Amino acid sequence: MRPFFKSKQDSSGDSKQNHDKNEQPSEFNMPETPLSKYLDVNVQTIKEMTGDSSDIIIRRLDQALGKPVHVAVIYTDGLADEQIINNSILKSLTQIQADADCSLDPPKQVLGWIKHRFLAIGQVTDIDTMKKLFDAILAGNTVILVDGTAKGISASSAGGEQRGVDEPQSQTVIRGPREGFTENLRINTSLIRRKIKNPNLWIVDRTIGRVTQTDVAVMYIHGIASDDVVKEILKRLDRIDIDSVLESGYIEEFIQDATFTPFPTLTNSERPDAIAGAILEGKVAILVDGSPFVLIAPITIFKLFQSSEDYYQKFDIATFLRLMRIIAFVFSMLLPSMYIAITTFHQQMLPTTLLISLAAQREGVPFPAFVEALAMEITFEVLREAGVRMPRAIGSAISIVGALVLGQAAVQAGLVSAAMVIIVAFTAIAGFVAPSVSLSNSARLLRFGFMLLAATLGLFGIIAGLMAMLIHLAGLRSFGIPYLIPLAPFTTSDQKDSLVRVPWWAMIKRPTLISQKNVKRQKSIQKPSPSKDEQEQ
Amino acid sequence: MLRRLGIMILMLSVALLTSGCWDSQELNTLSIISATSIDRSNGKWEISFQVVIPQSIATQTGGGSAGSQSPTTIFSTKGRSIAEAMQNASLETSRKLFFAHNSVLILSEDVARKEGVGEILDFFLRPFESRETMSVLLTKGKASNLLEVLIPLEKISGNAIQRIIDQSQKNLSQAQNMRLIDFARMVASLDESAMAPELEVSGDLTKQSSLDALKSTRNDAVIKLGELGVFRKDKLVGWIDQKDSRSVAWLSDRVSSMMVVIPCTAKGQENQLLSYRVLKSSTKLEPKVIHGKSVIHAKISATGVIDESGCNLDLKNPGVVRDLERTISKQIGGDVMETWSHLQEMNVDLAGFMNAIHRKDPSTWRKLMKTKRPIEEISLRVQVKINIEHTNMITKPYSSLLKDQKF
Repeated sequence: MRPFFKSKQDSSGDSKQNHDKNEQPSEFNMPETPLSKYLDVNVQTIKEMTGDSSDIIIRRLDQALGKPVHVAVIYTDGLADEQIINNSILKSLTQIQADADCSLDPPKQVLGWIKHRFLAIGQVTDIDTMKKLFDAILAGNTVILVDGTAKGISASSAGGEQRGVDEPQSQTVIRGPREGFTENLRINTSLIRRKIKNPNLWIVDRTIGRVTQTDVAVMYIHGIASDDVVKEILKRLDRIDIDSVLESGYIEEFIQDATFTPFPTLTNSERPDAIAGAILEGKVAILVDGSPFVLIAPITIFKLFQSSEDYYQKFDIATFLRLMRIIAFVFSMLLPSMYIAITTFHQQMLPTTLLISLAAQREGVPFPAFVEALAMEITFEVLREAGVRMPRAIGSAISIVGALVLGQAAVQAGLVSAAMVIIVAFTAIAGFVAPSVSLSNSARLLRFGFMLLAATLGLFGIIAGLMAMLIHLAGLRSFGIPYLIPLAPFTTSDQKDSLVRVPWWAMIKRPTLISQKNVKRQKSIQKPSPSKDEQEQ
Repeated sequence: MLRRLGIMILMLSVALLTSGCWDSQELNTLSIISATSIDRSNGKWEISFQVVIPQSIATQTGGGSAGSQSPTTIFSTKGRSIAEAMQNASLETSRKLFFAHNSVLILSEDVARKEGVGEILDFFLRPFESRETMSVLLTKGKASNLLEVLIPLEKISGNAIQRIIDQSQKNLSQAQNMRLIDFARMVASLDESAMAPELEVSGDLTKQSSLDALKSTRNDAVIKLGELGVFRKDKLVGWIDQKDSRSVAWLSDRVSSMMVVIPCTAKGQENQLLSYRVLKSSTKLEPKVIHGKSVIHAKISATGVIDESGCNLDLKNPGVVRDLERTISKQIGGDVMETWSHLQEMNVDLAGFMNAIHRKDPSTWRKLMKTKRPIEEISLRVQVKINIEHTNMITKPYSSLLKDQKF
């Protein structure tokens, strides 16, 4: 037999590996050229390189610290905090009279004085190349150049308008912290560090994006997180060569284990408490500047069914809710296809009265059940997408139209059966139960595949599809961790926090495979009981 | 990678589109059958189907308003074989006949006596669609008539008939719900005779087959359970009445609840009656061989309560209660013996005696099977033990309060 997949060998030479970082287009290579000795030349270079952009402010002074030296203060308007610049930099440069003598080498000494004696700012670094200069001013820092020396200093003055810490929009809880990540990387790392006050919480920085130069921070607890996983994540991050990173989704697609899968192999969260919890389990967080969504790796499928609230509520209701979420996920994936399969292939499976009332509703419906279900599902997806994109003000209009079109008019016009509306509505609601949006998205896509299988092969098709899905899931890995752990491979100790959640005092160990060292989380015997003194009384 | 994926998707969709869908049936292309009847006419099989009309049953805005249309409709077709008759139904129905929800199979006496049930059972056990749980029923007249009767409270009379049998089995222990699979097993069994309950229409059938009948409070005709048809091999050989069917239930340990009515024993009160309701019972059959003759010891024990008492008895007195228990036992024992003689006459084994002997003593069974009428070779000894658990909320009969009244 001729091989069907001849191209397999050809495509195995992955083009990803033989890429070369040096082949970047030259105009985005930051010049490593040293600063000039002459201030005019430097200022001219900056103006040329920025195209004389209006937000790059270059403030020139003819006198600093009472000495006759030419000084330029350079910063980016909007990124730097004007208050800091005015009060701490310009004020000290213009108002303080340095009494010391500077006859030897005035410019160099003045720079030294500014740095060591007069600048009332915490973080000050030296600058000697154009690249460092641009890095500094584009990060919101202020650069001070003095005529006559090829050096400058950068004073941290980052500020400007930022969105404050708000309640997360995508993952709300009833009980639990109300804060959510913002677009600022530093605020985000601080939110996590505030929860884990331990020097072992390490941050490794990377800058990704040829043009955007986006900061990416990898956070983990040294000593709990697996070194291999950290190494692997950093390796994958270093491999990325992209011109822009505007959201963590860019990074996600580059570092995930499998691309052609409907299931997410790393997840994200907007909640610092969820990220802190994940880090404490030995996972690694990847924060991207400009995005409030922080990536977590490695993950397992059961983690996607868990909400951080599970750990704040009592264990019994948390367990119940976890099971409900799994049931709802199955419903949102399979309900329309089950309906199609049973009503077109397996009518004998229904109780007689149910069959008859379903048959009565289908009387006069012009389309086969599959087409009916497909049309309703697509209508719902369109409505949902419209609901997300549309301006808030017309939201109610859409929901009224949607409810009327979907619910009543379609049934009264005899286009769809009432049962189908119920099925689609319940499917939709069940889809919103999943705490992770990426998980409900995978159910959304699979739903259509299962509907096709059900329409052609009935329940047999659904079972075949489920088997294929299970085989696929069993083969997935997330940074080396089997996706179905702790069910496959079965790990007894991890059962305490997967489908169910046992009380906190019983969750003694961290997840086995994710954190292979320092697995013990707490003292073994902490079950609350009446104290011994009371018993003796 | 993409090329491979493309080929996979193409192969999968071709496989699905060429092989799938062949047996898919939309709900509005099915005619759902709730009851089937089989008659013989002019040497041909005549099959009638009671087809449910969904839109007249479900209260829904889609198809015509409920109530104006009869909930079921009946098709009758003829053919040389049952399958042929079934296929001929396509000549007059617009939809595919769907048997999976058929709950009742009614055979006319004519068919059961002359043709036997062998061919019918073969036909109904064969297709994957048909249910083995449908109830088998007999009727003395034309079987298709029963399908026409509208039953008040119920929309689908096929399901209603099945529920009638269930009810009477639960409360009276009289007619047993004979599922198709049990019936087929009993017909084929060496040691057991098959039986099936009879269904009859009492009243004016023609008036009760129109929707107008449901407009009046009193029905012109009702469907009810009657006697019990008894089979030898696959042919109907006779009927036993309701009293006998109760005794058969005692012997075959199928009593779940039953009302036993006895006349009062006290003097001057012979016209008064006392009702005893059985709550639970068990029957043990012990086959023995005494002087070369097979004897079955039937040990019946039952627990129950007094539901009604017209007799002026002091039920607080344990001695009186014990007397009462003895009377009830005697009555049941007498009834059972009477039924036994009927069964011997018909040479049928409804109570599974041969089965009990077969299990206990195969050599005797073999000897019996060689005789012509093995049932007549067996003699029965009945031992009834009745227990009155309580007398419900009152102990003294109400009539005892009236004894000394002057006004």
